[in-house]
Amino acid sequence: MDMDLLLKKAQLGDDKAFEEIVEQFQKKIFSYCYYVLRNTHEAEDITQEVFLKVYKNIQRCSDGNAFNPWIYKIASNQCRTVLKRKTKLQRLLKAFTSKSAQMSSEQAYFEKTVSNIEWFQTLKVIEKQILILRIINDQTFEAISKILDIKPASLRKRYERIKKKVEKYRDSEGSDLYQQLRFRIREEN
Amino acid sequence: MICINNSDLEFEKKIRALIETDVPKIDIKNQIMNTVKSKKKIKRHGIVTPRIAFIVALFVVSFASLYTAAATANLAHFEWNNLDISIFNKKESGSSESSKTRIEALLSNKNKALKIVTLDEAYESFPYKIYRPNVNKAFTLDRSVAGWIDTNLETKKEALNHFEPVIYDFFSKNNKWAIVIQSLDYSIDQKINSIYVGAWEKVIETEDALGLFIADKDENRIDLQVNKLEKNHVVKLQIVGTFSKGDLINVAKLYL
Repeated sequence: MDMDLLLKKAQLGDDKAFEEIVEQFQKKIFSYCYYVLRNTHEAEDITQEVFLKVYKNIQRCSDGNAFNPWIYKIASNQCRTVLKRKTKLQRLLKAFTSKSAQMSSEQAYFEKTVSNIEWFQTLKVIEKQILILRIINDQTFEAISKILDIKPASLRKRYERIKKKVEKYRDSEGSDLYQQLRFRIREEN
Repeated sequence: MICINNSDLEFEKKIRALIETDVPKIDIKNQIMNTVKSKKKIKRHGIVTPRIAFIVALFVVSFASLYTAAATANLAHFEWNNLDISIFNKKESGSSESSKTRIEALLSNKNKALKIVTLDEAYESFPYKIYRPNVNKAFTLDRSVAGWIDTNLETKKEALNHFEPVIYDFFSKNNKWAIVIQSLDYSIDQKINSIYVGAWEKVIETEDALGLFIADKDENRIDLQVNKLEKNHVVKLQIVGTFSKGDLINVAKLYL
């Protein structure tokens, strides 16, 4: 069903319309949160919170076209809040515990996949968000600009900087991004 | 607008291959909906303290007259024969051009009227059951025009795709006029939805027909949805004109 219609019906209090919105967006929002937070339970909790916020503030969304950037913006803000909280907590814990004790099995799995790509970890949170929104969530630059509150021209500059940063990156063994890609494909085969 | 170049696409393809990982599958729709419903319940059965009750009473008294005035422009959402009808409370923009002038211009424009057919031809070739009005001496049916018409006002090159089978019935009474536009409503959904913006009022409701009325600046209008043929088809009769509300309703009833 057309997003504009769904939104208008949900704004009139039609629960079925809201349920359809949840159905349409839950996977996208969860995957975004999962990539940003690197934790299933946190991503699940945040996804729920995002939809509850959407429900509470649904009258604020002007039309169907505005819905996509709006919901991602809520998700992005929620993830940032969690990350800030986590960073503070980790700093505190670091003083008392060893790294291996902190890492859950899931985090360890993530370390093996996404995060073992060292260059990804060298990126700032906002840079990771741009890459995830663009590459994993297939968002347009216009949408990303609205979601992350960055002016289109600044977003383009940032994106170019990320590209240069990633392309220049060499890991400790001296392999560049594309060598790493080849290694990964070989490992998977 | 930000342009994407080939180097972006190449870069993105490589990065996708590097960072993409299996995302666990989740379905939290039910959890979310349960929370939403419980929040709604709490809201509905909220505790009313004497202070809140007093404030509410004050508001009710203050706005009672305003409410009466706005009653006809209320937001509404209801179902009829599996049709979802939503009415929105927004100001009407109102075109300065009369519907009659617009329709006459449409019919005399060869780019907009692809093919004019007789009513008999329309009976044979139109993909829906055609409605004809019963005779009523109060109104004169001046003429009827059937054809494959592009009712879209915009002049698009791809307008060829928008020719629809439409019938126009022109009525008159004491220098006033009404035009009945008969067409088919298409919907890809199993459930048909209609959105009405403005102070629409339900004036006809039977098992086979639903009519909504609105008074615009210079014209009145009734949208009549008739006889759901299949799950995703409905015949729509739009009745516009300078006829009074009562006459417009009577014209609409000629088709039932």
